[in-house]
Amino acid sequence: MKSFLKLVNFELNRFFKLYFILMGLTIVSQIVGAFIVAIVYMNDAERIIYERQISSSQYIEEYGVFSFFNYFNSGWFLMPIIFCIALLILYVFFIWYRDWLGKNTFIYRLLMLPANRVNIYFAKLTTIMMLVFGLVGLQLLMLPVEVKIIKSLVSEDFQTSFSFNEIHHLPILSWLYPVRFTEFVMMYGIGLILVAVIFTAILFERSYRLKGIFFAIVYGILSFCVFMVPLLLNSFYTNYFYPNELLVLQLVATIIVLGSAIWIANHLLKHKIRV
Amino acid sequence: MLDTAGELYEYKKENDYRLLFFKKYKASLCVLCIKLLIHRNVIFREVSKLDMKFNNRDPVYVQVIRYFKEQIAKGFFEPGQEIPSRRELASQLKINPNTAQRAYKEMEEQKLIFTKGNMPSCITRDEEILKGVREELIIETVDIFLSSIKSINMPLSEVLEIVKKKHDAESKGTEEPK
Amino acid sequence: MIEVKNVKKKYGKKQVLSGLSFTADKGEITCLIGINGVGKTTIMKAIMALIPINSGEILIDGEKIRKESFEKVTFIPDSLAMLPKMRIRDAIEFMADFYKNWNPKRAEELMQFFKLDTTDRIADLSKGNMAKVNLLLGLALDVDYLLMDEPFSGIDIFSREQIAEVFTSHLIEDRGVIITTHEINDIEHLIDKAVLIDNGAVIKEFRVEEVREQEGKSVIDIMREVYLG
Repeated sequence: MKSFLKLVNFELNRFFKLYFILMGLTIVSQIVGAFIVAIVYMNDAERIIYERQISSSQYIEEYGVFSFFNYFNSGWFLMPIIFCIALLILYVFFIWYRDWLGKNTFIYRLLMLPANRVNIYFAKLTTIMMLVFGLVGLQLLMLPVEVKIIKSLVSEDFQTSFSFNEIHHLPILSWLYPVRFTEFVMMYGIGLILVAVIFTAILFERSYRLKGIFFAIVYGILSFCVFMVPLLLNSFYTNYFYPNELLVLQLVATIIVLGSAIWIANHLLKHKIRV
Repeated sequence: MLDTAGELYEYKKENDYRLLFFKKYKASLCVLCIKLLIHRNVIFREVSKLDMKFNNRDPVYVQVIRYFKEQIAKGFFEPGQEIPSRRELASQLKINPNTAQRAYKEMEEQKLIFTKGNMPSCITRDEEILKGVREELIIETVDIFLSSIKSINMPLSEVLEIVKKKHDAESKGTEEPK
Repeated sequence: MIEVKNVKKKYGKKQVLSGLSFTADKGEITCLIGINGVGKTTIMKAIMALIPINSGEILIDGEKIRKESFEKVTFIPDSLAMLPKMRIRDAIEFMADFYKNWNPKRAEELMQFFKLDTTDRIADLSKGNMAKVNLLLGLALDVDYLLMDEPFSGIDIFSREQIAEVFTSHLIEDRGVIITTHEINDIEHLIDKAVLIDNGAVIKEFRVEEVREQEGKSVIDIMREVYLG
């Protein structure tokens, strides 16, 4: 247990610098974006009102009220999110491969630690989850700030109210902040399983190299199929299962997939891994 | 007739040409011996800092024992003098501690060194043994000397003359500044 | 004692280890000798379970390797396995963190003996200093067995002498050491046992002092006989 925590700490420290850059990027881009979107809107509105000599309400009739979606669909807001997601996806792979690269192959050190090697797997998994939650949390904290900035810059008449419940109308944010707890568990649970399966696939490749890629793909597909079984059954035998039963089936499928990912990873790390 | 082994031994001792040779030219041979030892590349230092070069064909522990004998014969190791522990010896001579261990064991068996209880080991005080060591080295040197002059076609008496001359010249050379 | 029993290992089509067997005792320095690619590094990695083997058995003090074994055996590979941006003291902290048998006093002693600076970054170290740090990270562990892969490779002669001094000091005493090296002349007088390997198998395993006594031959003499026929 101690080794696991130490490894998590170690992995987090390794990504520290890049993580802070990501956070900084997100903050800067979104805040600047908030300012810019609001100011541009106001400038446009004022310009048109001036040019055409119409009143504010006339402008609103024609062009509509300022919608927060202007901001939440803008590049300023979305780009950092997409960038962070892309980078984290890359890191899901790189968090393993970086230990094999370079002259000073660090994987030697990790594999020779006097602890169960599966701790390495768990530590990296936990690290990824923590990185994700960290950014998600950051975004959550940023939202009210951004909304406040915009509200203060766009004059009252042009605004609509914006409540946080409306977040789930937004494409990306609806995925990241599911309203109901069960959905939350589902989303991030699926994310966890996906990362776990990818990790095990990576370990297949690292254990068997070329053959390993083949094993990895087969394993990935198998896991996916097992996971989808309840849903497939449901589509074939519509209305056969109660929702609760379906949930239980899905839970079982999840446990099987996650459990086998962990078990296989443990086996590979103990007996098949190659430096 | 020589009936007993003891008599045989005595007879051999008296007629051993090497011992006869040794007795006659003790002094000259000592000098020669020392010169040959230097020639054989043994670097000697004070006891507190030991050093030696090894060849890789003779067992290291044997070379260590020989080194000790040389130091004794030259007087750098005094009778009863404390010698470094096995660990220290290994560290100073840069040898495997197991080898140092082996060397010490052999030397104890040969009564070259003795260990009283938990005290550090010391060079023997036994005069007989010390004499034996000096003799052993001299005999070795003499063997080398004799085999090197064997091929040269010169009667032994002439060779010994040269030895005496050289030896006297050298002792004079070292005395003159006085 | 570390026992390697009839170990076989293939990399693709190449049979790297073809039934390798030898033993290394505690308190002795065993040297694996052979030309490049003959399987010396492979068997070391196999002992540490860093690569799988196809068949055979490897026992450390009579048991197969487990996580606790890593407090008994350590491997010093030919390159330093630490993050390049770490400083030496970070590497030491790492080891102290994860290993119960890390000996900080000995680490300090070695720092001074090798004249290293804890604030140096690993990436900035010279080859000689990297090798010394590598050794330090292994020697400062209170393990029974040390495996060293080419500790002298590519190192300047003075660093090599320093490293060789380690073998004659109390730092190695009572431990079992398995070492592979090309610089056999540097350490010939230090080793207890020589294991000559060719084509993935042991062709001769002998105690060097015995051979010197009985045959008057050095390790290099035997190597010449065995490898050059």
